[in-house]
Amino acid sequence: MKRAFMFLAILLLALGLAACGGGEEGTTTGAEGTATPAGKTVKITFWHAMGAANQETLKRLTDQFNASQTEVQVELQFQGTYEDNLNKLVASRASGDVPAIIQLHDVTTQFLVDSGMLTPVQEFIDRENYDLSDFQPRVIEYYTVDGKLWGMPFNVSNPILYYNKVHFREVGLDPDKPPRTLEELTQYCQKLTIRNETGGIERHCIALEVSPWYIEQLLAVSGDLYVNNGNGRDARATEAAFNGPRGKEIFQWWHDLMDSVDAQNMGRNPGGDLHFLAIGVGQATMTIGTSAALRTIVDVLEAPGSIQLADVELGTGPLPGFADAKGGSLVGGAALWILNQRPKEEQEAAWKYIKYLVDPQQQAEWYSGSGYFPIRLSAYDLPAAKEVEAKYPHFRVAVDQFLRAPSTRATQGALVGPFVRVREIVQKAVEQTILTGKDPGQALDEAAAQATQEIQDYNRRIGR
Amino acid sequence: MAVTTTEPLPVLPLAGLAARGLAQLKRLAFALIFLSPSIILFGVFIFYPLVKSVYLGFYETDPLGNQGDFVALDQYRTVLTSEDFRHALWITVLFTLYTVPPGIVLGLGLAMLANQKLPGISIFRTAFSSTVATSVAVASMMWLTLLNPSVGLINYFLQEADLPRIDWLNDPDWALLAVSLTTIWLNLGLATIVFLAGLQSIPERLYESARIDGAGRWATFLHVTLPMLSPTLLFVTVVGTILAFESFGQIHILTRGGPLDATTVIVYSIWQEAFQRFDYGVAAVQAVGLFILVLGLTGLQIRFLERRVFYQ
Repeated sequence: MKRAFMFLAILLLALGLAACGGGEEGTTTGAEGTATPAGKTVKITFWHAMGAANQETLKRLTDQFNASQTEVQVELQFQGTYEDNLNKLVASRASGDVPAIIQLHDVTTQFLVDSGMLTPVQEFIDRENYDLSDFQPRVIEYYTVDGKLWGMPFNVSNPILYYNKVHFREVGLDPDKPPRTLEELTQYCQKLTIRNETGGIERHCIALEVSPWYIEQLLAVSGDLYVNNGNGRDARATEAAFNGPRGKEIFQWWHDLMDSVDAQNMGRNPGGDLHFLAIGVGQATMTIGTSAALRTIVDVLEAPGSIQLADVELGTGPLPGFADAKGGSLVGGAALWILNQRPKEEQEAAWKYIKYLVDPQQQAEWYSGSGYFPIRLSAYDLPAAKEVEAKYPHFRVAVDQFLRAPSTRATQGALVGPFVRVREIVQKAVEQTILTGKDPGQALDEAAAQATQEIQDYNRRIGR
Repeated sequence: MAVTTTEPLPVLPLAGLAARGLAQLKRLAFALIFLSPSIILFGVFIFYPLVKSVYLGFYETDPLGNQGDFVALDQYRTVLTSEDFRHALWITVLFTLYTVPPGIVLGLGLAMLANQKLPGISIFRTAFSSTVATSVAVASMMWLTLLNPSVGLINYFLQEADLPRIDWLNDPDWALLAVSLTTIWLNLGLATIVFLAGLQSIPERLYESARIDGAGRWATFLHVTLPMLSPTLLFVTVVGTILAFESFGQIHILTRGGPLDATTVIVYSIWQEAFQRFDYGVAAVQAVGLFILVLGLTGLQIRFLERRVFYQ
């Protein structure tokens, strides 16, 4: 009997465990009382991916919207990273349990267009002749595919250089002159790296996360394409193009930086905070990171207490590039997408909310409360934007860098169906280069071949 | 068990046969009523997905997760010959070796300690088994903080002891070990509880006779405790192995399978195929592979280890 019980218990556990995999919490439909005086209130859900200070700002803006009128009530649901958001969307598609609006990042554009899940915002724009002349043209260009604007850009950011001025002064570098090129950055590193008597690293000159985004940005800054067919904008991309001489130069630079000065590797950095933390505790002097972290960073620096901070005086500079750069930085960040699986009235409500969010006033507040820069040109003249720029000149760094860039196929950004997958491949190639000492050129060539395979596989399977 | 065994019935005249059949049918129906909750649950959540996985493995999936063409065994061939799958298999085996044996030794050790009859021992028993009540996500977040390269306590203590800092989660040589450490900690509670229950069911008289025979502590452990604990050991080994094979949460939170796939176990690879690439076909094939593997391994463990098990 005891024996039989044992087997039963094992079987139950084994089967029970097997079933544990797919636990998904149901979407809560907000039962919170929204007083409906007259007229009908449409409730919509919005899946977003904003954390830290950015989440608070988004919440504040949304509360303002909900309080300002009774027609539309928006419920925010934080779903983790952009990738988490996308995964949940595709997984929920079959059941129809999707939100009216979802915030998804730049690189998912082609996939979303192909998915047939969207109502392009162009439909609403055309219907009411919504004026786009006050929008940053390059941001609109980015999300325009086949002449249609598919998602409404909302949060735009750029990678910038963050550094600690205290360390610069210590080694005799001008704290107001951050390195402008990758080559210069390496030279700075020779000075900034501090070793102990046994040669071990006491302080790293730079902390770098293994982010494929920087490769994409650096190629655009150089003026080079990521995929063929004009970055997939003249015709559907069929081949990876990132392994040209510039791509190899970037890989070689990263490899050499790890080799010569032991740059601190922050890995894939799923939480997105490790490289900033390394600066905060004085482990490293510089890092490259998104401008969207600015509000959180200045907040933390001004209100220490949760973590013990080293002596940090924040400095920022544009993303270091190349002496002969012909391009400029890409549109980074995300857009708001309306999903056609929801009833028409919810889509209309979503459009109303989106119009509110991209209004100059809200864009200026969003800028000041996050670090994402406004997509409305007139937003820069509003008090909210002026104030934050006066108080923290850092906010202007990413904006200026972005505005300087010309509009070319390289800076418009790549359209790739399986972009998330291609990023994985590039990320792995960087890891091979910096962790195993694999030849950078070879790692990149292999990654490009794999990416091409992936792109062609995708095109074949969706029948293009 | 009583429901399924046929008790010897008294010999009846032929006319009684029909009545007997009816009685058996009634009994079966009765049994089914009691079994129906679990049959339905298992059917919906276990058996249907299992069958569906096998079925999905025969079809290609388009990039949006829609079912594509029938490709027969193509995907099985692709998966079985792919280097990535073999790598994931190898990582899974390593992960199991890193987590199961240490978990058993530590769990047994803690259970032996907690089995002492001392005042206030229940506090320790609760503490030792507390990880049972900790979710994978909470435990992983905790360890993620402990292992943090900048503010992690573990590196802090290493530094205080004049040892080099370790890049736990970003160094391919350490990452699997770091994830294993988290897993051992996480599963320790369950092992401790089960071992403690096993220890407490050993009758005191066996120890008494061992003492009378003049057995020392070690001899008692080897000849009384271990044999009496063997069913529990088998249970913990089998369940621990299954748990290790199905670990996902801690890997997702701590390393996302990286760096350089150093922590990509099969379940993580399945997740990547299914929910990052939306290639349900290939994911299904891998899932079927995992199922067969776990089934086979469990069968082997029971077959070979059970010979040594002493059932009272």
